[in-house]
Amino acid sequence: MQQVAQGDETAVSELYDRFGGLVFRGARQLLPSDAEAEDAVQEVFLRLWRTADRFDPNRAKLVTWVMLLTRRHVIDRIRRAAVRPKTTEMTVLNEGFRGANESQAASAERNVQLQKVLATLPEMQRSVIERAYLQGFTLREVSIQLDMPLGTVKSALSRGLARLRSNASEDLPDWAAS
Amino acid sequence: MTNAHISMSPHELAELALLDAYGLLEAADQIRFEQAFLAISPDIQAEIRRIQTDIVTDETLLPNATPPAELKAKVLKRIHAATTMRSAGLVGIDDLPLRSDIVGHIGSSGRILGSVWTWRMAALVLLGVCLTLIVMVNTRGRHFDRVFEEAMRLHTEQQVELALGTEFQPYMELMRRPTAQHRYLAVEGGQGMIRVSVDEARGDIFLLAMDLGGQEGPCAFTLIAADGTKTASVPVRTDRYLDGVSISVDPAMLAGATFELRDANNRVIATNKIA
Repeated sequence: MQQVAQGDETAVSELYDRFGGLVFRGARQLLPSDAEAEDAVQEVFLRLWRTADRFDPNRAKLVTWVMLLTRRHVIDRIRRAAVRPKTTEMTVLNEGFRGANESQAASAERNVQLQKVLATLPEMQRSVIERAYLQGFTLREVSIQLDMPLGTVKSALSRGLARLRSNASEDLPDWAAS
Repeated sequence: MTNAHISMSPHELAELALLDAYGLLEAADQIRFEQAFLAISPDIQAEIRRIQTDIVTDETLLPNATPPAELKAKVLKRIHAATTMRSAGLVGIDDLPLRSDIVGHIGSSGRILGSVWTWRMAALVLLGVCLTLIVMVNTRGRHFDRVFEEAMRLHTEQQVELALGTEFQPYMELMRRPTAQHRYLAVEGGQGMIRVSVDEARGDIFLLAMDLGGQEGPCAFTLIAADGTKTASVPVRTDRYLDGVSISVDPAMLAGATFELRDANNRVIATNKIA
């Protein structure tokens, strides 16, 4: 990472070869088009270069740091790009991605595994995950939309995400070929 | 924020670690989490790292998507361009290190480029003039406009675009409207300010925050209608020299409205009225 910080093209190339695909898939999970995901990948690697000298292997593995940065960037991008709802019309958005340019059917097809496991969750957990993780609302906005304390939103979200992974791993053999 | 003030249960720590791994923490919680992480024992830190690694490396829920072959070249090209700019002593706003890093670096290697500080100090001098004026006489709006624009000009449009990212287009679009008017919230007794650009007819607002780095943690902007109705608070970053946020409200809320900026401790640090 020190070589990446110095702009060593070989080092940056290796970094992309190791993580480019994973970063793209992480971005594509939440962003509505390949073009947006490609933009996000470029911005993520640019940020990785800028902050390479701050990478601390004692704090996290390199893959963890790369993906933490990716997820934070993508969520931030969704939040910034979305049209914020008028304050007197806090309508509940139940379906699809805010401001997305893909159909709900296309989104569901792309994230078929995710949608399948989401359906297994209790309604409250599913609702907060859809709003916070898939639609990019902040936790405070979700709290207002659902008229729920912020702490309750955080707990429901963290339990739901943990359960999402647990349920996904139980179904893994069905998806092994996909 | 010091470690002495961090008080977090193991349950909350694990909860924030998971949310952080998914990128879902807002700035204030992220700071709290990072501070708490540094304060806990090494074995718990190792457990937190394991949890986060398991989450971020889990590919079972990721879509089957492959990046196009040409994306690698685009990435390398952008980094090469940024490297060239840095070598030439040109630093975009987005390349500025976070405030905490600035403090650290000045004391050590003196890595901060002279050119960056030069334009920044020039802008701050202009803003210092503005802040004095705005505290004394609130009706000198037009003069403040002129001086503010001069300060922004120092950044150049490209650097503003880098800083605002996807908010740059809404910013430019609102600036071009002849019906847009501007109000300024200057931090009382401190540094930094927010320009609130408003199109009253359509309810479009753009917040442009500058140099709020003296604040600990993110600030929150609220609009209070004449009847006391408040909008949901909009977070404003303080870890960057520039931050921009576009919001929409019901135009009916704007007549006689008050703008309020609160710090991380929920204290009002700046306020102004729309008219």
